[in-house]
Amino acid sequence: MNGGAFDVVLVGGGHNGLTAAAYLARAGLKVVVLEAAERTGGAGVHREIHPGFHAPALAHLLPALDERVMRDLNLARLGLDAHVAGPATVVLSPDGGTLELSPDPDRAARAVAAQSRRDAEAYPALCKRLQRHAAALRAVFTRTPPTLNASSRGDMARLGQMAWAMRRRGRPAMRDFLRIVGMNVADLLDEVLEIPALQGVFAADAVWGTNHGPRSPNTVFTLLHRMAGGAAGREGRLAWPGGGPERVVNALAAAARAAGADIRTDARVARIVVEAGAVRGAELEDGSMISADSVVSSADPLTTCAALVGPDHLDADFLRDIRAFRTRGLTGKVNFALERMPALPGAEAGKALRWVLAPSIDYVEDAFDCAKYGQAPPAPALEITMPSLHDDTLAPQGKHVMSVNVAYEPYADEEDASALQRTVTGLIEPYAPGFGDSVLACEAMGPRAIESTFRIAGGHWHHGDIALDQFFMLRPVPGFAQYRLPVSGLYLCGAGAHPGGGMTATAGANAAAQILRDRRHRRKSA
Amino acid sequence: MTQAALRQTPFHEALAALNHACAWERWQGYATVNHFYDVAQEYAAIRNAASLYDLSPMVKYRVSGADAARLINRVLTRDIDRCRPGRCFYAPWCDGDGMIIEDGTIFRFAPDEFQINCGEHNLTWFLASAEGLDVRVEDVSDDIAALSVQGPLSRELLLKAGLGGVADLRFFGLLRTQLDAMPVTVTRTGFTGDLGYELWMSPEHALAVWQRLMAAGRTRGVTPIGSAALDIARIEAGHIQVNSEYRDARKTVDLSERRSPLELGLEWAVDFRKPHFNGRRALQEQQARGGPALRLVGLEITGRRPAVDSVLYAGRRAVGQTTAATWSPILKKSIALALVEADYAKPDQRLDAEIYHRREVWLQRREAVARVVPHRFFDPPRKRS
Repeated sequence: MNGGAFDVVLVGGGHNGLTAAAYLARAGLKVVVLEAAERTGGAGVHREIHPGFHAPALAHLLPALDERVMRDLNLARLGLDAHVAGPATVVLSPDGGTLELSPDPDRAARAVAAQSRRDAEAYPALCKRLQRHAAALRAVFTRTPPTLNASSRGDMARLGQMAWAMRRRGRPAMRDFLRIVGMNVADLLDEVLEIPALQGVFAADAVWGTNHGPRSPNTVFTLLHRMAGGAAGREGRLAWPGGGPERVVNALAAAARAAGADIRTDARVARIVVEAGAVRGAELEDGSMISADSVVSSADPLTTCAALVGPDHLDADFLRDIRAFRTRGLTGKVNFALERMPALPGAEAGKALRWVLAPSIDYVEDAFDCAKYGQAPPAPALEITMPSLHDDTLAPQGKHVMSVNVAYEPYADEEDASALQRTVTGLIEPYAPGFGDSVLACEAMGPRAIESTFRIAGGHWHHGDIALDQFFMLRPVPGFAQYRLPVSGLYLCGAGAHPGGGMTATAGANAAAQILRDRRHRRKSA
Repeated sequence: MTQAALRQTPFHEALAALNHACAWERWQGYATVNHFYDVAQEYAAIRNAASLYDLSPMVKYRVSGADAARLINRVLTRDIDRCRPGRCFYAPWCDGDGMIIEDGTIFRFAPDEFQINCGEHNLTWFLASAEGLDVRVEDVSDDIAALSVQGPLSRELLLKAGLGGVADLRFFGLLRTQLDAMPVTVTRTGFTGDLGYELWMSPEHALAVWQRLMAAGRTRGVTPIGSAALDIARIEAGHIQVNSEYRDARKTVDLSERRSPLELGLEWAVDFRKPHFNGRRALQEQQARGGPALRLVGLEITGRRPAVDSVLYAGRRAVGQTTAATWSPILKKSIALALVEADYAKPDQRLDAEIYHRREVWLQRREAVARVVPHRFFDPPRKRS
């Protein structure tokens, strides 16, 4: 069966796939997006978890949507720059000493001062210090990583530029960056802060979505990675655009469509067709063949290479490296449909963006210790958002939806969703008395469920863990960080490619730019 | 009691009794013979009579299962479909960068039953290439004793010993037969570039087969040889060898020390008609860029001193190095295998070789003229006849 002929087939219609599709279609290429689900949007969509209740299926905040994508695809109108009215973060603490952290560090410092004069001084300084480092890291995010090929003058020049970008910030800043980037975040926090709950919220922010505990190496890096958003002026701010992440993925789909991309849903790719080392297109599960001389996959690297391309077309060492890419997720997601607004502290004060339950570094580390041995922790760290506070269309009048990230929930073939739900409900109850009774419905997912729902091998937010050894020139594997895979015409554009996930759309935009450059130079493979 | 540092091959008892020089050397953890008494005499047997060489330390893998041929085709740069059951096959294999890991012989016993013979361990590589395939790869190195019978009288020797089937065993043919009810596989393969066979048997039969051949060869000048004599013959034959002409690409410290089959004179063994094999993409790129920097050549060098570890010059520019060198007794010439820059790898190209040798203690430097020649220095018709 013939599904048509295109210049580019995009496998997967998540935010990166749609972004790449929009850029490629705008450049005049004939693009088709093949999305396996019944709608595009990947992990950014909302799901109806109870009649009339819509909750963010996976991603519930956009800390770092790429500024370039917002500008190029005209997404500013979505209100991503809108200021958060209330506190950005409400820090929950078992002793009742709730902290409300404003997005403005100086205002936040006044709240901190009630508990510690020392931290009131240290907190804004730490925020600024980390933000400056994150900004330096950002310069690395939006470009194709160079190869380590000394014979390529362009690559050597790019490496030099990056080194200079780091150095020109001054010797003290560079020295500080080099000292802390490989450190564990717990050590840094112990140096700087003293309020356990304030340490806890940084510790949790450093590890959301990763396979690290606060005492794991390079968790300062993962914190900076999270902070290194693309939107200047929003540094470190956790954006909730009006309408939530779904509005962003819908806008990306609209941009792709407007540029001429053909978007097909319920189109499950069975395999990427390769002949003699070059892609020929994609074959769908229904047997239809869509031909194209470029195939761009926003699926994770393991699914793309091992399942869709297959070992008959790939060198054994490359495939072995892809298999070594750490893809296991360690984060759970729980959505609640609620009868009424829970009595969370700070909820009355304004529209808080999120509540974080991570009362200390040890609290998070204890949870990690359980999870790393495959046990569901009795007391995981929680990041709670109330999407219906910011968008009243998500729940019936007066009722609400709550979205909770859970660190950690181990990957298991038989996940116990009801145990996860009970654990999270029990943890929230003391902070919002009566919460358990207000639950109308609940949807809990561990990494295994995330894997099957969103077709991400391992169920990892980032398609593969964020760590220094899986970043930049090493992502997804050494030698193949330039979005090209070792099959002529085959590219990666998802979170498994540089710079990783987190609803930034940067990987999709970078990949599209690389593909267009390669087409100009008639280069097609890694 | 301390354990012997080196393991003993199934032929050890026979070898030890003859090893007057006590010249043992290590090969895959086994004690093997460098020479028994006199290298020149052993070499003479290879070219004039019949020689026996213990190959048992070779690494051997049995590959079997419905997808065995698919695995072999993913690994080798040649197309195994061109090797019928009952035949042998020579081929190199490469990593994903198109750099050679090793080369070896492959026996195809049946459509889905193979044996791969090589010098170094390759199991992890073969298994890494076996993803998704219904195939078994087993290291059978210790389960198979091997003996190489090489020389112009080797056929007669085997016939006299009772292996009648070798009469019409063709070059690179394979025969599963019996010798006094002992199962023996005979392949017409070898490393000497001469008429020759390799015998593969169960270790428990090794000594009996040895004695049988020695007895049958009493009037044929059958001579056990060590690796020193064999090395002369292999240089004459122009055969490359791991750790001489190249190193396993996975083991080099410096990436520039890896070698491509296109550098080693193996263009003929890279079959781009196959849709995929490990390294195909990279090799195609190498070829598209005009081929890699170096080429394997043969050199004929003036003088008698072997040009071991010699730097080769074109004018004042160093353009290559010898990888193996010897005095060839049969050609009466000093010959060498060398890697030289592609521009200088042309027939009859004249290069200057810098040769160092010790007279007694003091190093002597000598300049010699080297001429590029085909690297198959010695290739007699009887090899294939």
